[in-house]
Amino acid sequence: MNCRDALRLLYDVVDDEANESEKNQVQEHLKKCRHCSARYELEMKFKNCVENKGAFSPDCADLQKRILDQLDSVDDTAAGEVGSSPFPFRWIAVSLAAAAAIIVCLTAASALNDFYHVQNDIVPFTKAHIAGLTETHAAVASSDAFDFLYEHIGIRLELPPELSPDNIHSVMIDTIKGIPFGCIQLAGLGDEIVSIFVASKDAYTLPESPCELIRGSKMLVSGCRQCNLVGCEKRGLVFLAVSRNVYQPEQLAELTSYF
Amino acid sequence: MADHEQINLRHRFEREAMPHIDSLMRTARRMTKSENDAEDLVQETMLKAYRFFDKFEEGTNCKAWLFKIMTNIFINNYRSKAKAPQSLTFEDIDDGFLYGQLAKNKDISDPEKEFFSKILDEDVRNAISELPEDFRLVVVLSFLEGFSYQEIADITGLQIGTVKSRLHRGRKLLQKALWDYALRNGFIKEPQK
Repeated sequence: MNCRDALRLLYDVVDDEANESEKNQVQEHLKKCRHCSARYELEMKFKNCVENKGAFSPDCADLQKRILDQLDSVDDTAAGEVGSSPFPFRWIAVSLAAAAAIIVCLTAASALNDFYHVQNDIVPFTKAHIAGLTETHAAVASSDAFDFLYEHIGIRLELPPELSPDNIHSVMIDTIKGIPFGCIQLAGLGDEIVSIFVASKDAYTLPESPCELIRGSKMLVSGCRQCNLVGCEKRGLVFLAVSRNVYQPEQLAELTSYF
Repeated sequence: MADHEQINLRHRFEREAMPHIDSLMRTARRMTKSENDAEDLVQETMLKAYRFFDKFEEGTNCKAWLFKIMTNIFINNYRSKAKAPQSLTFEDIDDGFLYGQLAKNKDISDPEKEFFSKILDEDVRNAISELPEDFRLVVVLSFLEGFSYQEIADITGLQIGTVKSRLHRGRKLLQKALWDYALRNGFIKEPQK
């Protein structure tokens, strides 16, 4: 090994990343080369200096207590949930609350982290599923979904940073009694699908409540007709429908009350 | 999740994850430069980790897993507000900068000893805090937390080659900064050319 090779391995050796054979060869070279061994020694001393003087032990006692308290409240919420739901209800609620400032917001952003971890075994929507829709209808499951919604209902939704376009199961538009409704279905929670319906405030001009309109529409997939559906009647519309009866109406009502 | 599972999870979390909050806090302080932001960042990290702890594979590297979560939160939520436009034209620093400077210093008999004994903890911490953010993160993870190159690559999502080059660059910047402290405090003199 010559000086050039020894210096090439300098930081690998100092940072303990070199393999045994490299370390041995370097050691052999350093025995013979005063210049390189001085350089190695200095770099070692420098590293030790930064490690020893740069580190500090922060006082985390208060922080630790706060974190444990928060874990308690997470546990309490979990204990209050119905059955063994795969759906992280409390996190949806938290993120819906955070999104309240936006007129109509597809959110549940933190909850959607879960989508990355849960096996998505849902069969993707096909055209056949929506063939029965009445008027304007289409389905897209890609990043242009939001442009599509904007074009039809004039509401610009944003993709939450933690949500990948892959989590959008489908986006549908249907005109119910002359008013366009959008439905974004989010997938990934076991066999759970969350549908979020959006429409402009025009939906309030009809005698039926927006909830009734949606329930009567073909946008709710079959099997979902009996599911819990709660509407929020402030700041435009947000509807949250959970397929299956995992969540009780009062839980969904609590969700929407955050707005 | 059934009650007993939740209780087991909680115990496991307290045993495996909670002991790392000091390390997380140390890095958070270096990254956010604000005590409050650092506490928020660590708190957010631990809550997120708890929510996903059932997905964490027991027996794998919990510390690296926590740091990865924290780094992601930092990049998504904290960096934009903390990041001032950085000048990317660093003056070029030679490899072995400190070695060269100390070797040229003929005024004192053992300049290395003088240098390392007089550099204060505070100087080192300030020098780290003043590193540009990209270099600071890898320097902190390597020097202060002892992660390997591969672990740093996993935590930051960088290529291992990028980790090495940032660490190399960070090390040189740190040497230069500490050398400047030494000159400013007068315990070492600018070597004669």
